[in-house]
Amino acid sequence: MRQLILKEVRGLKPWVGLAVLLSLFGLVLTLGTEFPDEQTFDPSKFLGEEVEAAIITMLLITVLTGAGLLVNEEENGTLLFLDGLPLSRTRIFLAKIAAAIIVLGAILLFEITQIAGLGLLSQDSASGPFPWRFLAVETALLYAMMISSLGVVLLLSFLRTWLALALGLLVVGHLMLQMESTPVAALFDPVQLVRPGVDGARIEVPWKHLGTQFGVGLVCAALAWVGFVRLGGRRSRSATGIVGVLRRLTGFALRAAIPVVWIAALIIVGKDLEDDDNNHRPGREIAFARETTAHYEFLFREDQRPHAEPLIQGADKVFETVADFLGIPSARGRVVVDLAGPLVHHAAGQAHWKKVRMSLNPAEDLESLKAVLGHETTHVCIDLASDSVATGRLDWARWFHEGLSTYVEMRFFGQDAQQEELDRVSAHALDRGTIRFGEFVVDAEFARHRDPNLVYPLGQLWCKALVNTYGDGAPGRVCRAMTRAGVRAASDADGFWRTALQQSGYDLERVNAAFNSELRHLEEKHAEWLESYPPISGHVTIEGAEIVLRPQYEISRAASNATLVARLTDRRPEELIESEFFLPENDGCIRVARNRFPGATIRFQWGWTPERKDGAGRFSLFEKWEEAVVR
Amino acid sequence: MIDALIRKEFRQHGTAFLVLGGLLLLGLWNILANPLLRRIQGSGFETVSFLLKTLVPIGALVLSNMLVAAEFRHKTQLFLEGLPLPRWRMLAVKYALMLGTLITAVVVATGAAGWQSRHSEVMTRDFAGILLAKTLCWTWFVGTVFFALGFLGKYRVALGLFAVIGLMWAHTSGWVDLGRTAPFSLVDARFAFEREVWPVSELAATVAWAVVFTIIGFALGLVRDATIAALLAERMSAREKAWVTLLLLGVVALIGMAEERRENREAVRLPGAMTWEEPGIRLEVSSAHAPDDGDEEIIAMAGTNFFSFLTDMSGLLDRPLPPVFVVHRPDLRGSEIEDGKLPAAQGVLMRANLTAKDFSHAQFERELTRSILTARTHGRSQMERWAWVADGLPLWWSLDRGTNRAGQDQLTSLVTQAHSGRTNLVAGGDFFRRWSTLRQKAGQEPAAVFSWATLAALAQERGSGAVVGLAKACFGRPVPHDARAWWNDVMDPPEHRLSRTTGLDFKELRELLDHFLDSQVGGMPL
Repeated sequence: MRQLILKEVRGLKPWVGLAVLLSLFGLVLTLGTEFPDEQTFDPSKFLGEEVEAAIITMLLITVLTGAGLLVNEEENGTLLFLDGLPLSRTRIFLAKIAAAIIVLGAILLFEITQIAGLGLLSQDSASGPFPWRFLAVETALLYAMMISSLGVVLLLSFLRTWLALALGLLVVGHLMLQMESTPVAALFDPVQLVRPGVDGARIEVPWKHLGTQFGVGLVCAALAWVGFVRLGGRRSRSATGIVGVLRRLTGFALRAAIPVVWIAALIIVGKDLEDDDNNHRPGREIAFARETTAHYEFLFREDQRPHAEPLIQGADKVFETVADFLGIPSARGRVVVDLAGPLVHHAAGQAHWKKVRMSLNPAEDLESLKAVLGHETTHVCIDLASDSVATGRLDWARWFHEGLSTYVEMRFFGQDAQQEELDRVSAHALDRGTIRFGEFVVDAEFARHRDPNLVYPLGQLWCKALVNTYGDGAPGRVCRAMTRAGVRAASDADGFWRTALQQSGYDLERVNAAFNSELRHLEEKHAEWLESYPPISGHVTIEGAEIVLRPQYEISRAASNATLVARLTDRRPEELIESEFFLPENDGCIRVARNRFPGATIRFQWGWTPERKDGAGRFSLFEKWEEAVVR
Repeated sequence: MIDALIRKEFRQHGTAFLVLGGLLLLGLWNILANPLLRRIQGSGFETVSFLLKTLVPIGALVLSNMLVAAEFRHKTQLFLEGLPLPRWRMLAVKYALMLGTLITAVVVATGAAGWQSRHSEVMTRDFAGILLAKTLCWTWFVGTVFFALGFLGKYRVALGLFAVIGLMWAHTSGWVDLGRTAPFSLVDARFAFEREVWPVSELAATVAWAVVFTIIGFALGLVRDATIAALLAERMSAREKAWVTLLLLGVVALIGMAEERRENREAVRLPGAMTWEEPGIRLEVSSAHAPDDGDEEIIAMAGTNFFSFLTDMSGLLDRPLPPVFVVHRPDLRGSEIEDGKLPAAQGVLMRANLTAKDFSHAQFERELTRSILTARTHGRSQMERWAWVADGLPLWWSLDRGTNRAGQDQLTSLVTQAHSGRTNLVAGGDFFRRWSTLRQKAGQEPAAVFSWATLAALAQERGSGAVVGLAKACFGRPVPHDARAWWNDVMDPPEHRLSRTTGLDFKELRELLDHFLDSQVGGMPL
């Protein structure tokens, strides 16, 4: 058996060599562009972005190792030689698995040794003891991920040429499930598996994820064993006899069934989607209507017509106001406004290239609807002016998109109460920590610590500063400056904006100075109001099958008409697309089922929802994100 | 004979065609049915865009492998060549089948998405035409690329990867904007929404590329009786695999390095700034607020002083110094001095309220020195092995230069502060080797004071020239931003440089510091 394992290991040498080379090239890259003694190994930093790169590399190596491990014997014609040996297929299979496990372990160890080596090189006297325990746990989890993935790859390897496609579909399917934020999807997520909860010396291993993924890997490996045992078996291709006829008929029926099944599935799903749409309309009206104006094409349901028509009549004025402000001659066609399509939760509207979706809430008055239309039309006009650069660099420009749209909305279509709300949210944000331009410019980085919706009030304030400093034409000029090569070639967000303003003939420092001054002024102006919304902290515990959040704040200060809320996730905050608000129960605590967020680290963000005046108001006042490691 | 060829291909790969087509439709269904995606996407045609960018290339890869690469690898084309028909017809059948499968699948997908979105799209002839034209041209392009790649046999994967990596790098480095270059611009974010403007030039360019790749594919399959394709289809030897892999990884590493080193190219300009310049030194001072007459004078004078300071600094650090930009920010408090954290190649940006009553020139110069040291050394001056010099150098330099108009009281206070913190310090020469521990235990400011005291002690013993010599040895020359900097530090560590410039080692330097603090604590003038 040992000889067999060694023979298999020798067969996997090319993949070992490739993995080692990849690793060494990575090291060369590090040595060529960074300092090797500045690669501190910090558990929280490693569990951030670095672990994802490690996962992709390890999974790639696992796929390459496992893809031909079983099936290559038949393809190369060596299966017959193996069958000639006094060994069962099972023993050969086990030898192959053992060899693959040894090889994967060696590759992982090589990679980890590099990380540990650079980490040790980067230690200084204040670094504290090297986190060996964390490194060992993380290595074990990565190893477990590789072994369980190996089982899946071995099973899919029998698809041969179709392996890549099958893996691709698996990944896409998993991403779809993840987007739904289903707890089941999280258990199969390799990223969640290799992200244990770390709280000082305490390391919480995600046992559920480990058990689930390992179990799947084992089952797949068992099925692969069955496949391997039957590999290369004699297939009777006899054309005679009832059996042969039945076989050919079955094969034909299966082939014919494929297109029938897919077409049927399309029809059924299409019908389901239509029914789904129907169910969300109270009158079950199915007629859709279209109205055209000079600048828009409106789509809506007939039962929405009474509310849509006043908006439609005033729409062109909205477009002309926005286009004049941003210096857009025309939209080169009409902007489509879909009043009947689905929207992201908690959004009043959504904009794309020359298309807007907005909800036509019967409870909202005409002025509010125009304000939303103005906001979304500004998004469209920003895209037109910047030739989609602003959308293409959304991670650096989301704050500008939302900020400018909010500014236009407030200035031309908004109401005083809404402006006051925005000012208060800005003041609250500053009260909870310094706000610097460089912080909210990178959306992912900002969302990691703060409420991502802060880009609306803060961006609006910045755009106001821009207009106050350089006049009404400034935002349009900045948008057009984004199309220039120097701006598009910027390597970081700060450089992008500095260059965009430079190219427009403006000074970013002047605008930032005006922004800072105004922000401080708002904090002073609303200081008394802020007193009613004291800072909230709290802790998280697991009680039975529930996650329990207990808030702590100065009750005496809290406004009586404010509601405590929280956001919760076991993923990284910047990965959230739609977040859900949780409200406390009668005892003031928030309780959520544990299997809703099965991860080892729970991240939470407390907030106040102020009383809404006249039904207006769309922002809650959130603290910074916190996290806690739970079992 | 053509019929026979087509039937042969279907017999051989019929199930695969059906499964592939079905999988493309499965992908469409999966995305269309996802409620979250339906909410995020503005149009059902965004699903088609996603399919065109992902599943169509994968499908084309699989088809080219089946129809072309496998045929030549298994040398079954020899049997086909025995048939009484031109080779080009054989290839044409494969070409047509491949494109036919892909185009059928995407047309059905587009139709299905269109039907599902019929109530949320304003469908016009132009819109339908633009969508179909983009879909078909893109699919044709992708199909022909993989068709041609199929003939490259053993090198197809490597060359394909080279092409993909090269394109990605060209895009991220700004040489080529793929989002605006045909054929990639056909499937950009506007794919599902552009209803009026026909992308004529992009379509034409895509068609041209498709024709080029078609010609390449047929050429590889026909030239010299297809021997080129046959040779390329043979399995790679172990040596070939090793070379190709090395080459691929080498290209990836080089591109990665170039990408890491890429910084903003646009030079920083402060509109309306006053400028001072001489060889190797450039200073710009601007105001973020239209200053009053009186303030303008103060700012101009500050700029002159800063420039004089920078000129002096070339006694400490070799020229050229990084360009320095100073912005007067009236919104900041007098004690707030900010480093703008520009990339090292662009220079140093400092922000301060130059006209505030509590603005301190001395403090500003110290911060500026620190920032210049950090920019010059790419942050290495803040590492433990150098921080024992860097932390106190700005203060020592400003005191030595006389710009820090600190009175004797302040100096005595510094000495007392240093003296009182001595009890918890690491003994002997290790004090300088474990500087991070000092920072952690005592704090950044006390650590800076100790560093200053060390330099002051050295100056008192050996003269200011010794300190300047030590600073030059540590930070005089620009530091490369790669492993060479670390290697230089290993081969010529701080203790060697100290010994070379002052004749002292760490233990002796510590004794010097202790003696200095003991002698100064009584309030004797420095």
